[in-house]
Amino acid sequence: MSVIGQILNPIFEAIAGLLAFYYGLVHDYSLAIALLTISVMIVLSPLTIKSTRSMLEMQRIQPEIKKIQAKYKNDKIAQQEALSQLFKENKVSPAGGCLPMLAQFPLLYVMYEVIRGLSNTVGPHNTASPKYISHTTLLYHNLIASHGQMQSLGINLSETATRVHGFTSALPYYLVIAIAVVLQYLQMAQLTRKNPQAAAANPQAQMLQKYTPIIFAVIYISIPAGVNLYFIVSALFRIGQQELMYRHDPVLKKHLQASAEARLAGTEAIEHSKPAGGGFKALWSSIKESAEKEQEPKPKPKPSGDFGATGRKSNNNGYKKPSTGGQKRPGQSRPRSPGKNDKRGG
Amino acid sequence: MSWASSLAMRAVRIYQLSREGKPSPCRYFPTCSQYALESYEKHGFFKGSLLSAKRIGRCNPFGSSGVDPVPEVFSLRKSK
Repeated sequence: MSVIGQILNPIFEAIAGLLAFYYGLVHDYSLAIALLTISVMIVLSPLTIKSTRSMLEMQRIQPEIKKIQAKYKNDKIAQQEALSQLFKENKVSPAGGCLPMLAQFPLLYVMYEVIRGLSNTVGPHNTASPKYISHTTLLYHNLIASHGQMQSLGINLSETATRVHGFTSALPYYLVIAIAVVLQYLQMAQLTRKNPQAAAANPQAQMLQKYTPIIFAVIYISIPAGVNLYFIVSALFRIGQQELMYRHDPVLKKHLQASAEARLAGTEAIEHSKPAGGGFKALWSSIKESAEKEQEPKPKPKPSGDFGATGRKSNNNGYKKPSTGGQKRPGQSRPRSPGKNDKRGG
Repeated sequence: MSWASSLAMRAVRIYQLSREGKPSPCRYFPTCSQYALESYEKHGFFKGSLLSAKRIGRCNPFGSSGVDPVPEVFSLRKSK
């Protein structure tokens, strides 16, 4: 076992133990995974509620951030001051952060590893040898009896879609993936739909949002169906949580009201929010454009001493350089894909 | 630019692309990923990685927030 595996082993055992407990109650793999997911989501919810709230607050002032960036294009210091002022005035209370968000990824790894570990088989005869759980649990006995297969909902939850042969037998696996992707998209869309004002400021991001589920789908076809079930249940949980927040959270209610008023004030801004024609084609051309930009030879740093103590690479930062094809942010080092920097993950 | 930092920057770009369209959870401006790109560009792979790791480390519910640009001169101590 790798070093990381050894460190995480207690976590694997805790999650697998909980799964075994739920399996003992409901005698069904998919139900047990669903219950496990809901437990994990409930434990995480104080964190996710807070960070969703602050994320939406940040999103709300996004158009103003853009304005400031455009206004102080050539003066980095003034830009920073104006932005600090904006954050203070709007009392954006960041509750989350990138670290908690990144902490979700190890959790996915834990789920993946637990399901792989439980369906572990050894030897030439594929003898089941589930890891991480006590030999006295019902889950252990049933896994031994089924040779590590987790049959539920007509599929083997420990199997990945790409390893199933035959169209009809693989179909349910791909169906599970499709449901996971659609739900993930809906959860994402739910966050942006409620705030068309901010979305209008960033049409390109909106367009890309439509295609990012494809990236997820590529990952999903190579992981066990049980992990995809985890995605499905957690997306459902998040959608419900977000909807409840929109209805009952006082901060978000105010936020929605403000954005609704702004919508009445300027309907034409929303018109622009629609991606400019030809969905996939436009996306492709934007990717091509950014690739071409990358190939452009970068200007050599001139020791002009115009910025900072050293003046190094001042040109790369574009503080003085005249805008190259719609470069929007002076602080942006690589103008590869202009105009969609503001909503990027942190 | 070294191959290591350009590889790291590509990885960050892929991450950014995968999160495109979602609201950012970041407490800072520029966002952590943008900060990472800029610090790789300014300070190279090793120092850039250290700066980015430190930035992600402080981007948690107990950290500060607001405008936090990449320092011009590399230092691991708290700026200001």
